[in-house]
Amino acid sequence: MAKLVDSPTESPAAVVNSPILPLPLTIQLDPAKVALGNKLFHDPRLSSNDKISCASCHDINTNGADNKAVSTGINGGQTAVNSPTVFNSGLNFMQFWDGRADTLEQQVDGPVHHPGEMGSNWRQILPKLRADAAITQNFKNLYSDGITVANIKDAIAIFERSLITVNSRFDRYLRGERNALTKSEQRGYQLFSDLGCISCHQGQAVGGNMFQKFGVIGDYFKDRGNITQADYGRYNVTGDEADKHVFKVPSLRNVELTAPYFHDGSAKTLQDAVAVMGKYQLGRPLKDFEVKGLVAFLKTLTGEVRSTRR
Amino acid sequence: MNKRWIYHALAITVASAGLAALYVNVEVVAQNHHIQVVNELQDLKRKDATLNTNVFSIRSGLTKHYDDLVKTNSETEAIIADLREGKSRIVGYGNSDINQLVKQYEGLHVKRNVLIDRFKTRNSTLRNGVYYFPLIATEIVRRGPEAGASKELIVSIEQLLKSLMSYYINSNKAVYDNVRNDMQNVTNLMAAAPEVLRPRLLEMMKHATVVLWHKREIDGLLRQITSAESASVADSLFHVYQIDHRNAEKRTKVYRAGFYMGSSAVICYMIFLIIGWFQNRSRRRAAPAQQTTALAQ
Repeated sequence: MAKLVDSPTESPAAVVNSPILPLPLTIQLDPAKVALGNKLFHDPRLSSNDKISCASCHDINTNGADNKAVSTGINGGQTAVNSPTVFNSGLNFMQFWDGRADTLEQQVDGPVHHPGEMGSNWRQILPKLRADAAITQNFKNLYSDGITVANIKDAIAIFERSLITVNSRFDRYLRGERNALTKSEQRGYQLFSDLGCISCHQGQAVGGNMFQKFGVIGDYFKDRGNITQADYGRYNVTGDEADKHVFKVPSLRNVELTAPYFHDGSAKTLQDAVAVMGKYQLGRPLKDFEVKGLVAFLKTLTGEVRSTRR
Repeated sequence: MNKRWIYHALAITVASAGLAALYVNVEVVAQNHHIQVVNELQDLKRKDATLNTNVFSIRSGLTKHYDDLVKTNSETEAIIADLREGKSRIVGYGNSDINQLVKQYEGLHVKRNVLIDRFKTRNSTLRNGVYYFPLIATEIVRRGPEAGASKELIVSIEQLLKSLMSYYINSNKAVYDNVRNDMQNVTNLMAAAPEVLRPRLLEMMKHATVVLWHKREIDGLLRQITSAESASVADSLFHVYQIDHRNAEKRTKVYRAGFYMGSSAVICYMIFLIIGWFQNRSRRRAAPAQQTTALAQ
């Protein structure tokens, strides 16, 4: 588990009981394992046709995702849901939209085995990696038992945990830099708080720590139509009626860059997404000035990725 | 090598094997491991209590995010994993009570997680409902007469506002029944409400429903989460482990005494053999010399 580190000056008293907390500026992880994880993350040998890597759908040079409603896997197969950004994924309390993996390590199994994504398995992957002298040596240097499935997952998960978007303008504002936000952005934050968006989008990741029904007040799926199995969300994992259309609340960090939005990728712009949230989650159509204010605030959540990029 | 030496070697080998077995049993109680386990088990009980505090703190609005709750939960899971297969492993060492209790605690933790996830979901929705319902209700009460709403409708909404807010603070069966009656009254009068007010009335009633149902559900969830058996199972686990450790220590004392006595016996036996071997060698050296002297004479 990554250890988040804050220097004492980074958390002023004002932040202590804030619903949103700033991300730490540094994160303690083994740099050699982060580098190995980076290699594996970009390694297409993890897919059955050696063409798709994790980075194919989670481009860490842009937004940690792929800007598509749904992603394309091996042989042109398409995913059932939108690829969430890998940035800040280490802060999520569970992984995938429906929370079917408890940890990033468990999550690795999902796309690797999915026939429409990487369509592979560890029996295929291990010999391919073991045939590579450099990567074998790399594993030997870092893990006493060399290349194993657990170690591959560990390295990838450590790399993913390193991908946090630090020092956003809002974090600087929370740390006491009052002029880091313009007046209209501050009003946007006030709206975010007053309108109740903050009830679900809170904590360090501004989300990612709870589940919520998509359509608390209005019936989003009835209005959208064409309901798929993936639209049932958490229900697909638990089988509990109460979990129908329940999804993990996504983190809003870097949300400005991660369009399209929602599990179905149906909202093309941030304005669209905010309007849909107002209607179906808060039960009120948001006025133009509210949408603008909220979008202005959300854009202040864009931070810098600190991990080594490839 | 004569037969006698083979017997000696065999005896030493058997004795060494016996001593090794005793040594392994002496090593069963490693104090560092024991201290680590005790710390983990105490920490497990603390986390259980912290989890309850987290939930209450969130419910009362003192904590405005779920990160602490999630963190306590992950730390609890890490402890369970450690007791099961990590550095503080206590599972699989032959004490079926301990194995059973760890399994039971894990099961209860999983069940409680489901409740906690539901609590977070409902609590967020309830917070918004409690914000929006009075806002819309007071707006309708203010705008209603102008828009042509009947006095009866306005009074019913005011009544619902009072009873629902009262229920939010003090939930009991009588207040709950009042809220349901007041909601029914407003619903009955909505059909005759002016067209212009209807969308807001519908919105208001949606939020009223959210508050009523979610408050009731959250009260139930809080009871289940905080009265979970896990604390008493953690106590039992700690207790059973302590007894197991004391028994292991007693056994270890017996094994240690056996090990020391056995070791001493083997050492004495080997000294006896070595002395015997030296005596034999001296005798063998002395015998040819005596023979030579006898021949010379």
